[in-house]
Order: sequence, then C-alpha cells, then structure tokens
Amino acid sequence: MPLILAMSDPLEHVLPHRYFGIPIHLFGIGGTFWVTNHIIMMLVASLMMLTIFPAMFHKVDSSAPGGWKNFFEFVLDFLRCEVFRPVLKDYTDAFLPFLWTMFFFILFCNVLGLIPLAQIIEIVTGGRVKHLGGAATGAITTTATLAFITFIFIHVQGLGVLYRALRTGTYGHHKPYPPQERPGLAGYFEHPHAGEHMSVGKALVFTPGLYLWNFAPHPFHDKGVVMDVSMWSALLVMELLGAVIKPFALCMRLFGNMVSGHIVLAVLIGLIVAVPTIWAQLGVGVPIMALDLLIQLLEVLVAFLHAYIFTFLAAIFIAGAVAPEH
Amino acid sequence: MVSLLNVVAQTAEFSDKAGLGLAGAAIGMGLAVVGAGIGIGRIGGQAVEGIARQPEASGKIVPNMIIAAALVEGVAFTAIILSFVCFLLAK
Repeated sequence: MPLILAMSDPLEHVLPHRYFGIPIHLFGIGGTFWVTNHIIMMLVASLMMLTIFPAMFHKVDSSAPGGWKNFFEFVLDFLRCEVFRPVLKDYTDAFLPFLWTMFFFILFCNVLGLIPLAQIIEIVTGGRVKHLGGAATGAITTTATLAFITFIFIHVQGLGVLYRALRTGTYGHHKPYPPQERPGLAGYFEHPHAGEHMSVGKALVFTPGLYLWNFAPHPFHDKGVVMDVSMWSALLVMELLGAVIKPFALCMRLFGNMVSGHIVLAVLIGLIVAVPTIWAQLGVGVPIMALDLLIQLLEVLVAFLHAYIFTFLAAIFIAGAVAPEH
Repeated sequence: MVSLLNVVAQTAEFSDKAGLGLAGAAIGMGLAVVGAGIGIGRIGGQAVEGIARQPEASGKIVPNMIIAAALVEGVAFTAIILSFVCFLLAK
C-alpha cells in the first residue's frame, strides 16, 4: 500500500535520496558529501564493469567465444570497426579505452535504472530500506560530470596531439582543397612552422596558440591577413560557443531521456489512482498498464540507444579536435 | 488570442502554487514538443522516402535516421528541462 501511495507524487522516485553524509573539509570549504542512491548505483555499475571485463578478457584467447563473451565481443568490435574507425581513422586505438569505458558505464547505469531494484528491496525488507535503486544517469550531476570529463578529454587530447606533432615535425603539411593550380605558390598552404622539430620549451609555448589558431577554419587564407583574421575571429566565436554547448547538449540529452521515461510512467500510474471508484480504476487501469508496458519497452531501446549516441558523439568531437579536416 | 491570454491569467490566479510560472513552464514544454514533432517527422519522412527509392539501402538509412532523431530529441529535452527549472524557480 505505501508503494501505491508513493506513486501519487510522480517525481519522488526519480529524485536522489540521501543515505548518509561524509563531512568533508577541503581547502577551507566545509560541508557534507551526501551519499545518495544514485551514487550507490554508480558504484554498483562500476563494480560490475571492474569484475566482468577483466574476468572475461584477461587472456588472449582465439577460440570462438560463447554466451556473454560473444555478446561483449560483438559490441566492442562493432563499436571499434563500424563506429570509431570511420570517424577517428588513425587515432582509433589511442582513444578506445576511454570511449569503450564511457559506453559501458552509461549502458550499465541506464540498464540498472530499468530494473525496479528500489521497489523490490523495499518489499523484501518490509519498508525499511527505501529508494535503493534508480538510474544513475537520471541525475543531472552524473551526466554533467560525464559531459565535463568528455570536454576536458577532448581538449587535452587535441593539445597533446598538436604538441607531439610540433615536437616530431609532422605539423602543418596539408594540401589545399580543392586543389588549386597556382604554379608559383606550390607550398603556400603549408604553415610557417610546418616540418619543424621544436624543442620542448618552444613546443609548449606554441601549442596553445596554434591550437586556438586551428580551432576555427580559415576560409580566406589566401586573401591577405586582414580578411583572414576578421573572418576567422567571427568563426572562432561560434566554434568556442559550440565547444561549450556540444558537451552541454550531451549532458541534457542523456539526462532528459533517462528521467522522462520514469516520470511519464509515474504520471500515468497516478492517473489510475486519481479516478474515484474501484471499478473505474480497474477499467482505466488495464489500458494504462498496457501502455506502460510499451513505454517501458521503449525505455529499454532508449537506454541502449543513448549510451551509443553519447559515445558516438564523443568520438566525433574527439576527431574534430585531434584530426581537423582542413 | 486575447481570450487565450485571459484564460492563462485566470489559471495563474487560480493556482496557489506558482501562478504564472506554472503556466509559462507548461506552454514552454508544449512548444518544445511541437518543435521535436516537426523535426522528427521530417527526418522520418525523408528516411522512408529514401528507402522507397532504393529498398536495399535501408540498412544504411535506418541507423542514420535513428541517430538524427535522437539528436533532435536532445534539443527538445534541453528545452523541457530548462522550462521545468523555470517552474521550480517560480515557486
């Protein structure tokens, strides 16, 4: 009975619920770090990942996989060959650990949110332990952290690749597109610092500036410095805004999809309780429950789909920072 | 349109919780859903048209359609979440 009454407030089972607090004092800022049910679900998801993947894949085994190993190998191979390699081309194997971890963490968090663990544990313990479950990615703090980590990763990797290119002298050789027939200007589109083996200090100094210089395209590169810089600065403003907005959209997309399914389900069940008589509730309840079943199936699809989409978009943004197509 | 504004104003007075903030959030969410519907409808329509022209390309068209639909839905969800935040702030 208390479970059914709890459905009258549709938001209650998607909001985080605190269990215990850990007082933290860091650099003079005090406060409590509240451990919520979302944090516990994230820990469960990471423990699952830490036990499943090393146990399955720790030795190189070229026999045909079966069962769960087959499933994981299929997913990992599909992601690497069909999704990441067309986008990242040569840098695929460098960024695979990050992207694979991101995909499986989001997938496990989403799927754990589909299972009604909170309600099962509440019934089993007789109402003592409440809300021990829920989608960890249904908290905006989780998805915002994932998007922030992705943002930092993209720019750190972009700077790192540029630094390595400057040190080894592979920076700056790109052919003009479309190929221009200008016989006197054969090497024009090569950057002034192309092919130069820089020392550590010089490379460190030049890396941020060159990264920013290459952040936005130069459409008027061959029309003089004034035209080039003015057009480039306008494009740079949009690119900088885009660099902030794209991870923000990643965060919002994942959060909204995960939390809205549960809220819609709770609101529909609340509609049953709102009807006065028990016969009317039964009459309204059957179609609503059928609809709820379909919505829950859609949620399963959405859980897998958004893990894939977050990782796919992260790969595209990494490729944009690491190997910009001129 | 004036009578609609009258209805919204009367609803705002009637609700003792958040007044105009509630009405604004509800209208915002509805508009976001309209945008998402138009966008995803167009994507689905063009995808089906592409499959009709070349049925053996459906294996390439359908995943791209789903990805594009999820991207459009992401924008709609951003609008819904931000209007929900407005509703919470108005209380």
